[in-house]
Amino acid sequence: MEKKKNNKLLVAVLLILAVFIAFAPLFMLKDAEFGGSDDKGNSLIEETDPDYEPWAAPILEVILGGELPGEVESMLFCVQTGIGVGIIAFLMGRFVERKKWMKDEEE
Amino acid sequence: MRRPGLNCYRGIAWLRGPAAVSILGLIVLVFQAILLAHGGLTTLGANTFSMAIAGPFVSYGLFQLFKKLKVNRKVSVFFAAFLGDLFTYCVTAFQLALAHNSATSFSVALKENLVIFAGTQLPLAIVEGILTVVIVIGLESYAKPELKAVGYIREGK
Repeated sequence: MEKKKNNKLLVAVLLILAVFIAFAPLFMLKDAEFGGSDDKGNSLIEETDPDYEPWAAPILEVILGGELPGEVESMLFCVQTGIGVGIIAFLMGRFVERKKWMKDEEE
Repeated sequence: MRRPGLNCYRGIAWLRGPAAVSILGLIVLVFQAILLAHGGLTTLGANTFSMAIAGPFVSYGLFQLFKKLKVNRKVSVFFAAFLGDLFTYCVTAFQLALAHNSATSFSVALKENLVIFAGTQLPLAIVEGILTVVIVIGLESYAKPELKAVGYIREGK
């Protein structure tokens, strides 16, 4: 029982720490620009390899005839995350219920 | 006895070994390349190697090593996830430096790429390590039968 309590505390502390690491830069570096390493990587390639021309275009961009709007891209990423979280939550929910069940049967 | 569904095994495939993750990673990357224009079909091989082969194998190797050294399990899960994540981006930087260095030298390009990819990934890798520990704690408390079935916990412990 004691171990279980410790785990709960540890999970709470870890989750708070994760949220803190994710959001602390927003408050601590107020003038900073928040970009992605992908864009930075692109501009670095222009420096280290100025003659490089991309020779393939993403299929979706060819079909759409342009870039996917940023909001739609974010939305698709969110849908992907949502599906993943849904599956994990469903399975964890089942596991938690099952443990309760098994305890009831023992008694 | 109630038997767990097949999905439970898939959810913890990484516990069964890194080879299964490589296939899953490839599937995810194909979807992202086609639907999101994130990554791409011409870079599929490079992305699969850095994300779904190099990272998972490092994580798995570290986890086995920590197990042999009898390090605390939560600590070893954290460092396996953290370093595997970071290694993924070091491999990405290595690949980019290898492909694009005509204006400078390979070592300069590698250094610049490492600053961008490993540097920005450091806090993310820590968060990912933390979340992996949380998930493992959850599985250890609620999914003991499955963990036993994949050989993660030995019987009778």
